[in-house]
Amino acid sequence: VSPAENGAELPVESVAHLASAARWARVLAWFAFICAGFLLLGAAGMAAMPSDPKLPQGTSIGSFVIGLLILIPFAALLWGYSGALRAFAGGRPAALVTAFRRLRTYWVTLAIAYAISVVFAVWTMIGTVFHAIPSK
Amino acid sequence: MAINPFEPPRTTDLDAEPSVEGSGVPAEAVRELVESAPWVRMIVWVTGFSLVTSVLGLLIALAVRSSPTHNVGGIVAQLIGLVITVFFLTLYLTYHQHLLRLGRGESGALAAVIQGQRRLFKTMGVLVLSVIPLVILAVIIGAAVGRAAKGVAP
Repeated sequence: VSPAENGAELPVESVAHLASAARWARVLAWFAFICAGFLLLGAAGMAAMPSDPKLPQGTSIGSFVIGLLILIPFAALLWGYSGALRAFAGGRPAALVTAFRRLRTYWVTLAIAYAISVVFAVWTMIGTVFHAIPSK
Repeated sequence: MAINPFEPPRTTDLDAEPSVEGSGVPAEAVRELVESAPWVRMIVWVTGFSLVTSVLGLLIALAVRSSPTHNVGGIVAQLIGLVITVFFLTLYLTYHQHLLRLGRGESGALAAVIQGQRRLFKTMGVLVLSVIPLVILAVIIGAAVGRAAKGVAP
């Protein structure tokens, strides 16, 4: 633990930055919840008419469920981070611990999800390249 | 130290250990930030790797296709994606450096970390808010094109 920062009072500027971070995190959480809502509608639609020819190729109920499983934890963590920062702004200095703990969980989730998606993207890219090279 | 029987109970979630020097930033809060540094470093590495593979993918796409103008829209989209990735890479890198400074106990590092958090979330928020109208526009144009194509088809 940093001895220089331990127990230090936060400057006014930093408090304002935290308030701004809380606002933007809330915006992102709303966006993620709305996207999750659309995915839920899509999953419900797929369940209602699974063999509709108008659906794009490769669309499955599984892709909607995976999307939901990714989005909901992010939305919840951002919402929690923002809420804890609001509690801090409301005069509870200890809520800062909760905010930063949720932020750490957010980074952990993001790092894992990002790594998986990059591996998947590279795998797809390799497949596309091999498919695109004309066979002699 | 005497125990006050009228003191309200502590919540397990929002109340932390008090800091050493009174009512300032709790030591636990700083520890949480410092412990997040390895994960932010991992994000930096993954973003860097993603950037390299995207550049390679773009070069391969240009080399494989007979004409570079074959799919201009896709290439422009990839270029925009690259610019955004580079921007986020610098943000994550700077944030990680501030976290390392905080771990070393440098003064002013906490304020820099907090500013980095705000910058990251604000950038993501602005990006999301600017993407929403573009997506709506794309859906409207797509629907209009689809309707026109249906009208032309026999």
